[in-house]
Amino acid sequence: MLRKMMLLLLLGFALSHPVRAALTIEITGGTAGAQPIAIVPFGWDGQDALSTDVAEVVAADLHRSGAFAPLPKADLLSQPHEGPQINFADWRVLGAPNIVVGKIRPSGNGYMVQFQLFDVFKGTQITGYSIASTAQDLRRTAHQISDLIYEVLTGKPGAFATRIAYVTEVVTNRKSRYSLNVADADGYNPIPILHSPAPLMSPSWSPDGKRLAYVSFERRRSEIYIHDLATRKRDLVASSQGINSAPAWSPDGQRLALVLSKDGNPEIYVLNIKNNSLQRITNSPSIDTEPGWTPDGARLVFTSDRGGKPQIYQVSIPANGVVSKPQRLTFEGDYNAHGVVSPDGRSLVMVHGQGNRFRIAVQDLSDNDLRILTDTRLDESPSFAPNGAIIVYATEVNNRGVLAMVSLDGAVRQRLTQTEGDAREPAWGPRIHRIKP
Amino acid sequence: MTIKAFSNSRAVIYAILVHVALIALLGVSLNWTPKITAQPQIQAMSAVVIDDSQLIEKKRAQQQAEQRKQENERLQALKEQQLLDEPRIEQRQEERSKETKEKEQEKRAVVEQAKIKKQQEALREAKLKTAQEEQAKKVKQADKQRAELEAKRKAEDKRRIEAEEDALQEQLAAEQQRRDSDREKLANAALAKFSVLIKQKVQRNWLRPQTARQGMSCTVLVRLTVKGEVLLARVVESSGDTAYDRSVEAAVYKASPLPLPQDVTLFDYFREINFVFKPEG
Repeated sequence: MLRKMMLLLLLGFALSHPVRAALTIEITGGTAGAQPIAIVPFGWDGQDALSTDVAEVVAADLHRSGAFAPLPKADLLSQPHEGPQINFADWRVLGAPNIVVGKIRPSGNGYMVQFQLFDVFKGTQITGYSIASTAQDLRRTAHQISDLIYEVLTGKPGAFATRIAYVTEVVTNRKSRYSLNVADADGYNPIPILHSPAPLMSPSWSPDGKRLAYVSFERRRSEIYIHDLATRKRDLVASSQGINSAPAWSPDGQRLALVLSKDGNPEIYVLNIKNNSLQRITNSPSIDTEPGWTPDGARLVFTSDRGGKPQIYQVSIPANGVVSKPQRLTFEGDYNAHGVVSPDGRSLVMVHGQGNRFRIAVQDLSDNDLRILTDTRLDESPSFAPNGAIIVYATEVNNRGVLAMVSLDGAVRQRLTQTEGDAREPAWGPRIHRIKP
Repeated sequence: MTIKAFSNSRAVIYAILVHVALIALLGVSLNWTPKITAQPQIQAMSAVVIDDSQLIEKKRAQQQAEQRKQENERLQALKEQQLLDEPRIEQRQEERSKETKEKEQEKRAVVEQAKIKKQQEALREAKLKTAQEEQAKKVKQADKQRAELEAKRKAEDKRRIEAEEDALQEQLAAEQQRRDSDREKLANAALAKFSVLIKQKVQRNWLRPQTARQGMSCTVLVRLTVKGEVLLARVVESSGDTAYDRSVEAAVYKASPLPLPQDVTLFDYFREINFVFKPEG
């Protein structure tokens, strides 16, 4: 009798709890694309209209990264401003895995900006912050929110609350006026830090974001200055006979790679900023220029026509001072110049010439696979965002120099707004206004 | 349990019946002659063993035959005695003349006869006693046999029940196996068909991030409702890239509900699915 009962029990157990390995299905391919994200306009408790639409800035940032596709405002179902107001079942229908809501209220002389990021499918909050801000800082606060969202969703730091330096040339009455400018990474809030009737060139950020090195022709020849942004104090660091150009700050902030022609023709040197000692890196009868550091600070890439046509080479500069023999990195095409190594050290971005077109291309340094990222004609001066996800570069549109950005996969290209003149030689600054998640 | 209790109470009823029968037997044996007493005894026994009535019937028949034989023997002995008596009477009639002499002889004969009669009586008594003893012995033996039979019956019952249970178990197992193999066939067909449908739907919903690289792989464990709705998608093996892992989770949720066979008995095969996401095939 007992046995019968046991048997029935066992049978029942076996039927309700089958011991079966889970089915495994392999998914391949998919569609390469940006993740949709719902960014709802933030609520505002104050009287007057705000100077900045924070949600719009966040949406633009995330879009520019290439990783996200913010839903058009018209597609938003409702306007929740905090978690409890979100009806996740409704939002799931839109297919965006994430939703950002927020609200702003007056606080002291400024604002308190609150935002929350939710997982739409799980109905859970992923992250959320309250950030104190002011009317002037509202855009920066928005960029900081973008950074926090980007970082938590991609696992990589954001680079929206950063700045770019670039040169503009405005011609009035046949006279040129050059400016060195610093703006938010999205091109907003441009601030000229230097005006000059003579050309300004090649800005390079110090790793701490406090100083800029650049070339000025203000004394009718090329010289290299280091400019402190806070004190507005300038130091002339290279003024040798001939060419003084293309400064590039080392990752440790102690050295400046540059090009000097004091010994006959343009060669790469490394200047120790503290003791002004100079180390010669290249020695060839050809032109060697446009040095750039690898992120570890142990190597330099540079452009050289030693092989007949401009190509990018690499040298090691070990601590003992013995420089390795230059090694050629680019082989595809007749013209590859202005090499920049990505912050992760994996890719080399350059200006790739093909016929009369010069476009931004990226080369994978492990398999040397070259991809062209842009579709314009005269691209120049690529510079990586500090997180390596976006590249800023200069190009020409309707005979006018403009700044543009492209995501590393080439999927999202965007021109930065610009009021007047030609813009060129952008340099992306380091991350300094960062809220640690 | 109730059935077991019932079988116990049945045993108790039997025991009571046996005791009543034995007491009745005691009462009867005081008044009646032993040769008839065996009858109710056997009836009582036949009331006990229901299942083995044939055996008991045979036993009773044997006992009856034995009793009949004993009775015949006793009658034969009496008859022989009568035959012995007759010539002696004739002899006395013939020798009536010699009465005096013979009277003593006759007296002696009478005494002798009485003596013989007494002896015969004693013999008869002894025989009866033996018969009684034998009868008691037989009753005892019958009791023992009955007990043995009862034990045997119980053992057989137990064996039979166990055999039945084993047979049932085997039958159930066989049925289960048959059902399983039918289900297996159905399930294999469903697995083949719906794996493809599910794969296609999830694939359509997968937005690969720009950070996806060849060689990346992310495994997500998905738990479904019977309607194919994704209850839970959990990354069990990360690709190392957060955006990639998130895109994988999102793909599964966006593909919800996943296509499942209409036959809900096949749901067990789809309750949990491991999806392995790779950028390249």
